[in-house]
Amino acid sequence: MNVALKYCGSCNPRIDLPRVATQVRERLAGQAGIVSLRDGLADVVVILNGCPTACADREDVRARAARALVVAGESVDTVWVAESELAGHVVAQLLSR
Amino acid sequence: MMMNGEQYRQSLRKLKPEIYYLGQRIDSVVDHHATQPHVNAAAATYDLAHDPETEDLGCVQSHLSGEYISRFTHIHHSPSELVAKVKMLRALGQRTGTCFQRCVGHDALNALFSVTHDVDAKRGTSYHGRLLDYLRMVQQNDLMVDGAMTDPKGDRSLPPSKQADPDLYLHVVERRPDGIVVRGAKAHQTGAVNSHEIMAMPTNAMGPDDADYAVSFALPADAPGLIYVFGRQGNDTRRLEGGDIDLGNARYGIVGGEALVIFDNVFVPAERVFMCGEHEFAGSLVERFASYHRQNYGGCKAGVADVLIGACIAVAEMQGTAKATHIRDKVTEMVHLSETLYCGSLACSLESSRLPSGNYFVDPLLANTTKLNVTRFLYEIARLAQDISGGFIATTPSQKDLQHPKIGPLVNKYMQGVAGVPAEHRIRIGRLIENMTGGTALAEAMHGAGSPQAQKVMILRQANLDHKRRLALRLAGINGE
Repeated sequence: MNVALKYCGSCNPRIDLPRVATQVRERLAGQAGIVSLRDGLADVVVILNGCPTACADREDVRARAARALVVAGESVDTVWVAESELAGHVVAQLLSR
Repeated sequence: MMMNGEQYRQSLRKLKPEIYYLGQRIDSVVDHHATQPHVNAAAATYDLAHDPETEDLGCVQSHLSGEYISRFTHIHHSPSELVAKVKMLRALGQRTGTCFQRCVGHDALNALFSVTHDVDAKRGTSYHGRLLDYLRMVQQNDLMVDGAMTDPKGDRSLPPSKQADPDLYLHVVERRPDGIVVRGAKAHQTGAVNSHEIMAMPTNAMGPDDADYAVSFALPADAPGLIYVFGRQGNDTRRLEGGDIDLGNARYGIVGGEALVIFDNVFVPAERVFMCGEHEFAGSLVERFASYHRQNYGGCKAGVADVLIGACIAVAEMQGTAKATHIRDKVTEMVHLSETLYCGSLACSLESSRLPSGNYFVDPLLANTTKLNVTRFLYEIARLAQDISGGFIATTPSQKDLQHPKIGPLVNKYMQGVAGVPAEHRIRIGRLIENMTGGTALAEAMHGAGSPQAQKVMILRQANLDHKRRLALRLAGINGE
């Protein structure tokens, strides 16, 4: 499975996006590849938004992978998840399908 | 091709503009102590496009080429793109804590994109095509453009053509088959000394007698005849002292670094002229540029305020006052004021409308309201920051004294706040607050993108007072309304 990580732009993030991304990468090591979204190889795009506005959750982003998982502040696909548990929740979602 | 910050610095080294500061020529803005922080701030706009965390804001697909370009060279084609611009500016304000300069040229490009279209439609000129060619060049080479609007103006009660010195407004002095020659100056030019291009625009609406002053064009920053005189800032000689603590924001400086740009009989090739004598469109260009530029301040200044609020929290923690109710109340008010500014920038973006040229224009009433708020709120935010930090920001010994072999330990001892926090940390954060709330920063907040009265003129013009009057008359049951 190839996973792409797409950031929102971090204009005023309410969570530490780089830390969440690093934790996701570390937990996926050996189980999935991390690719660039622009290369067109992603099976899943994890859209990392710093707040509930979720600016990066757009059609043009979702269209670049078969599946999308959206982190928007302290939530994953609109379900509330504490910041400390975001990475674990994302990885569990990725590996469950 | 999008440059990164280091490539931007290298690109500046290839230019040879004539720049003066404190009576001396500046050979390299990248290396000179006075200009280097401002170069670093502008370089951050380039690095934004290459950081995965920020590239969604820093990059966008060009509507001309389809290639990914810096958003600072993009023409806005939707409300969401205008919102993205505001968010990009906030992100940069958070990262630099100062003005990063590149938005002025961005706003000039967007204003001229629409006005050249309008001039061509009415006058049958070919300015829009020239502008598109120029824009392609800017996008392809990822250039930083200085949007140069403000003339020295001389006697403000007189129009340009009635000034005792005709050069107090930039104007055409000669027309040739292959271009024009211009003479005059543009004042308060943010980032001009570290820009690749200078894009001049008229500063006022113009009448028929002032047609020679209704001129807009673009030039390479080192074009023959351009002379820059880099302006002073409060505390600027601290940059000569060799340290970093007393500078506050040593890496990025304070405000954008402004210059007086003199056009000493400068030749402009025809293909780079975007207005020449079409005086009835000068006012439109001014209003569009000004509105785009006033839109910005709730983004960039909110980002800068985020840094200042963080500094206040940090200094309160270092001084043992963080839990005091009045401190928390003041911090709350700082956040309230800052987010109100941000609200305004978002609102004027979301309420934007499509122009005949195809690009989107912010709501001018809301944009001007935002900037007018900035002229007041930044002063209050700064006042609260100085209140929270305490008077030590105005009296702290220098870095040299802090590091003096004999008295340094004493300075450390008596500048100590909470035990366990180095006195140097308290001093550093205090210096950041001192420099961010000083005179130069506040004057820029007041007058950047136009003075408060300019915003009030636009606000009153857009206020639709007659409609409001009829609303009241109707509810009061007057005159059959």
